[in-house]
Amino acid sequence: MCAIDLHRRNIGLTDVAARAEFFAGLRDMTPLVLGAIPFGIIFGVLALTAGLPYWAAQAMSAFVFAGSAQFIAAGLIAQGTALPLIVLTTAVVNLRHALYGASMSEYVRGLPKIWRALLAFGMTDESFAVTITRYRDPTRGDAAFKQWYFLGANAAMFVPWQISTALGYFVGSALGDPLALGLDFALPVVFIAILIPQLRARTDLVSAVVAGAVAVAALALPSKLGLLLAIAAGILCGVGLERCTSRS
Amino acid sequence: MHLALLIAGMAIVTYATRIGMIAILGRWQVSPSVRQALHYVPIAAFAAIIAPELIERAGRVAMAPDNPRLIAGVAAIIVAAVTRHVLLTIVVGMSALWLLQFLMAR
Repeated sequence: MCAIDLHRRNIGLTDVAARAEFFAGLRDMTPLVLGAIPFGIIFGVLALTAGLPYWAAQAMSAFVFAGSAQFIAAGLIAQGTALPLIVLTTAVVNLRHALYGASMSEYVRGLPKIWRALLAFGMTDESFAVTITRYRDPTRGDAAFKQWYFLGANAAMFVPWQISTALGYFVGSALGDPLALGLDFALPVVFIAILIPQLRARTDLVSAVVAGAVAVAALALPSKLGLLLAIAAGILCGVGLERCTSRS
Repeated sequence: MHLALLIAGMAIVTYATRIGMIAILGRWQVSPSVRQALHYVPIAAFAAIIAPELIERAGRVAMAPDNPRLIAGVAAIIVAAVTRHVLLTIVVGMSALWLLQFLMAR
């Protein structure tokens, strides 16, 4: 133990461990990033057809950096929706991030403020998924440098998202249908690969099935409200069943 | 100018959703019941994102065997449950989709 601590103070080894975590984050995100690139291209095309200037499309990808909110905003802009309403819709669409942040809080609590601010900015569905899975598995990763994994996962999505936005804006129409290859299917498949091994207790399984069923039943609801409702239902059923079974 | 305001507004509310709970819960010790609920956040969220991707087709519920995404998704779920192997699950899921799309296009 002591020897490891001594090594840690050695700058060279610290760099190596941090870099290893960073690249592990990049690597684990690869299939999810490949799946997201078509959507970045589609956003670029959508922004162009909604009449947005290039700087606005790129600024939205850089500063908002939230796929589904950007899609909905581009649609609302094209319809001439009032700006406060677009901002409000953005907040509702992204409300699920608050739940992700709550789950992540105990793992980033000890970090300096600047780290927490930076990691929160880059958190997406995808980077939250791979990072929380690694953090909850004590056998994986280097705990002393775990913030580098999160940063790597965030960076893995940020850079391609900017490039694919520009690509869609300028040459999107020449690319044909970026979804024709079916790369977008990588998102549900990777999430399946992450979710299924986490379903250890019966309450986990019930929570997942209820959330999935409510999400499908509530598809018609606007602004991802169905997704929020489904997550809430899944949490409530999991906790409820856990309490019922522990009491009896 | 309006556009710059709009993007600034969107960026601010989005960042608020991301940093909000990290900042709030970072100050206090989380109670056991909150911790119990947070255990289900990724489980419920992933399931809620996955299910419509497999079952929805062009805005409608498609629970039929002619939906390649549903079949490929079920194949991926079985592989994940049996092997717990991430890469194998991805390879099987994507290959199944491409194979089914190829077969159905003929």
